[in-house]
Amino acid sequence: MMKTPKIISIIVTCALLFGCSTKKEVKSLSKYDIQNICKIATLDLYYQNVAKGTKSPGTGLVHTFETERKFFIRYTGKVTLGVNADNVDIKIKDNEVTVTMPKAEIISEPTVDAISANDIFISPDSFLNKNEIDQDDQKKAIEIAQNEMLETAKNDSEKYDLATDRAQSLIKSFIEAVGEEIGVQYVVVFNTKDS
Amino acid sequence: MDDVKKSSKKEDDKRQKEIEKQWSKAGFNFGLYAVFACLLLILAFYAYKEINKNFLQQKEGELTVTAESALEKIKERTDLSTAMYTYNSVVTVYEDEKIKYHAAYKGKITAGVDLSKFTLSKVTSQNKPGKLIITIPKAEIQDTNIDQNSIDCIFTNNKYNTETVQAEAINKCSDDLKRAAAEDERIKEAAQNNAINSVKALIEPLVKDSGYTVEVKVGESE
Repeated sequence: MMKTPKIISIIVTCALLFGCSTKKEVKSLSKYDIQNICKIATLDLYYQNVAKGTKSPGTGLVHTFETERKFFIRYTGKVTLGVNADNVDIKIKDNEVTVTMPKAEIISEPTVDAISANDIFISPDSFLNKNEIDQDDQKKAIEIAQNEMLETAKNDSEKYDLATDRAQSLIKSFIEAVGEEIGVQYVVVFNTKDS
Repeated sequence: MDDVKKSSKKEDDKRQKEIEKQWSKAGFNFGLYAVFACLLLILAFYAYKEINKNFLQQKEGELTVTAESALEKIKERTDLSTAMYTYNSVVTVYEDEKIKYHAAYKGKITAGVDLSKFTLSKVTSQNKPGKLIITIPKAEIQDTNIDQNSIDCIFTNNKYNTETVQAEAINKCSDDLKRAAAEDERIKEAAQNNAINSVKALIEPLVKDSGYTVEVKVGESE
């Protein structure tokens, strides 16, 4: 009569010894994963732009007969937009996941690639007195280009919306995929917060 | 007195024999249980190994399915991999090898990757972490557009500033933008990187707990 309980106890012991470690690990949602998506899902924007400038004729006798010269400087550069992952938060209540995140912003300062001589287009000079565009003028033009590029990127609201929407779409797809894996149909809600 | 002693000794011997018999029976039973328990342990061990093996196989399968399902969700979202790039430039227009004018224009180039054409494969080998390889097509230029009102010219001689110059400049600028879109690899490179980042951002967090790494490769579009 005692045999059956003993066998059961042995089986239970075996199950306890080996069975516990086979428990299936399920993917769960974590703030860390959402932050990682934001860190990776950056948007590189390549810009080619033209800075326009004019050099007025100088004043005084030595500058007599100089003419105003117009010039274009073509330059290229890259700006990276992304969502600041440190300001991302998630809250899970039942099957509703609320993701609070700021809008995308410039995460790396724009860089202007070296401007070559082929990228400078200047109107003809006066025959009588030269109004030369020298190194200083070109330096100034590059500064103009750098600032212009920053301004262009800052005012490109369409691109900020694109970068924000892109990050949100990836987060939503990620949460839904995790939900499918664990058999939960998550509803994802986004809240925007100031960065 | 002797008879009593003899009888008592006999009884003691009998009791001793019974005890020995009981011990022997108990020992046999204990041995039997021990052998049975050992067999059960061995059985449980192999069952565990088999279950665990099957479980791992199932997990790898699920891993691919989850990654594929996540990619399926974004493949219709062309905006994730497509962007409009600012391409403002200057084109030089010649007449008989002489420069007539330089025309500056504002242009936009739309470039992207068709994420619906992804392929997914899994590489596993012993003693090495597994790898998920996602192959996406090369970035392609989808559209070019110039802002006709943005055209601004520097003439080398005022004689070239005629009534027809605007129409000519529009054509020249439009052709220049199309040529630049086809030849300038930097736009395609940016579009390609953005698509790679999108795929990585989505898949890496899904598989990292399994020790898998994600590699996004660029292949020929179908």
